[in-house]
Amino acid sequence: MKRIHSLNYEAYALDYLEGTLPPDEQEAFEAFLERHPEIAAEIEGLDDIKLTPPAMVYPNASSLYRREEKAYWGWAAAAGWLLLISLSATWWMIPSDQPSIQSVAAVDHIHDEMVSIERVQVSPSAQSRSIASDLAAAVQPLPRLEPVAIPDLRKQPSQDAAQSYSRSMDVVMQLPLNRPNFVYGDAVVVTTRPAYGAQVVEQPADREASGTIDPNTIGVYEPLSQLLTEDQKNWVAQWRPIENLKEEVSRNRWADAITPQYFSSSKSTK
Amino acid sequence: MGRNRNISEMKTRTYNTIVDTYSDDLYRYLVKNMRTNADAEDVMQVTFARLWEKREEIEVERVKSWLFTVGHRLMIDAFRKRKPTTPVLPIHVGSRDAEEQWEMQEILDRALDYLSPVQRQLVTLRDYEGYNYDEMAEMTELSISQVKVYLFRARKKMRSLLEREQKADTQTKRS
Repeated sequence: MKRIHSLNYEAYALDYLEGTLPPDEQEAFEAFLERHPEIAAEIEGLDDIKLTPPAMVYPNASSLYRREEKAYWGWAAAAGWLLLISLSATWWMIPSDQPSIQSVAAVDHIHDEMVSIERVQVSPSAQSRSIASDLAAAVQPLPRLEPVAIPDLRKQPSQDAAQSYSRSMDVVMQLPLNRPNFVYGDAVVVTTRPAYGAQVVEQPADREASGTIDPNTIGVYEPLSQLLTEDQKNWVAQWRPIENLKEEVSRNRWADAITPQYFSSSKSTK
Repeated sequence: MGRNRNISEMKTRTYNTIVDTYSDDLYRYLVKNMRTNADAEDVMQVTFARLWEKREEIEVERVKSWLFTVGHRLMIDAFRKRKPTTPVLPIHVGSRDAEEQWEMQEILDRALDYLSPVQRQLVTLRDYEGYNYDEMAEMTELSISQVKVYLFRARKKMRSLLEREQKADTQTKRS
C-alpha cells in the first residue's frame, strides 16, 4: 500500500474524487482523510468545480482549407478541344501592334467544373520581344504538367509560401471550365487545363459593354500548344478560317462562335 | 496514376475535414488561454499550416492531439515573447445585474482569468476537450503527477473564487 501524506495527497485527490484510484490507493487515501479531516473538507465537492465548454466558432475556418490536388486525366478529354481552340487563337492573335502586356491571368482549378483566375501583375521587361515571350516568362513559374496547387497567398500567411511565390496575385473571378469566357476589362480567357495557366489577352481599359470585344485585341497563349504533334497541328489547320471567328466576335457573338462545333464545321460564312 | 490521384484527393479532403472538426475546439482553447483573438488567430494559422506541411506523416487518428500539442507549444512560445503579466485576484463588488451574473458557470469561466497560465491550460484541456491526464502530460511536457497537482490546485482556486463571488452577492442583496 502506498503511503499518502500531506505532501503528496494532491496528486491523488482528483483520482479519488473521480473514483479512478486503484483499490490499494483508494484505501490509503481514505485512511489519510480520516487522519486529516480538514483536507477531507477541502476536497469535498471539488469534483463539481468544472467548466462547461462554451460554444465557440472559429470565424476563419475557410482560410485554412486547401484545394484538392487533382490530376488532369479525368477531364483531359473534355479539355482537349479547348486546347486546340487555344492553339488556333495563338496563331491568330498577337498582331504586330498588340499593346504591351499589363496583366496575365493564371488559372488554377478549384474543382472539376470551375477555375479561378488569378491575376499576376507582369511588366514588360527591357528584353521583351513579344506578348508571347512575356506571357511565357510570366507563367513559367506556375505548375506545369504536375498537379500541384498554386499557393493562395490571400489565405496562406506562411512566409515560406510568400517567398516562394513572389508575384502579387489575387483572384479575379471564377469561370466555368467548359466554355470560353470573357473577363471584362482585363483579359479574354478561354479556359483550359488549369495549371497550364494562361491564355490572356490584353483588353483596352476604355472598352465598355461586357460581352463585346474587339477581335484585334484578343490574345490567347497556351503553352500546351508546344506539345502538339504535327498531325494534331494539321487537324487544327483544317478548322474554319479564323477570320470567320473574328467576324462572329465582332458581331458580339463571340461566346457562340468559340465552340468545337464552330471549328469543326466545314461551313464558311465568308 | 489513378490510385495516386485518389490518395491525394483523400488527403486534401481529410485535411479540410480536420479543419471542420477541430478548428473550433482549438480556437476555443487558444482564445481562453491567450485571451486575445488576434494571438489565437496567429497560432491557428501556423498550426494548420504545419499540419498541411506534415500531412503525409501524421496519423489521422492522432491528429487532434497533434493539433493541440503544436498549438499549445506555439502558444507557450508566444507567451515567452510577451511581457509577463500577473493575474490579479478579482474583488467583486455587487453592482452588476443580479441573477444571471451569478450563474456558477459564468463565475467559473471568469475564474479562468485568475488561474496561472499552466492551470488555465490544464483546466481547459480537461474540461473543454476531455483529455485524460496522460495526454495532457504529453502535450504540456509535464509529469502526470504535476498535471494532477496543478489541476487540483486550479480547482481549489476556482472554488475559492466562486465562494467569494457568492458571498459578495449575498452581501449585496442584503444591503
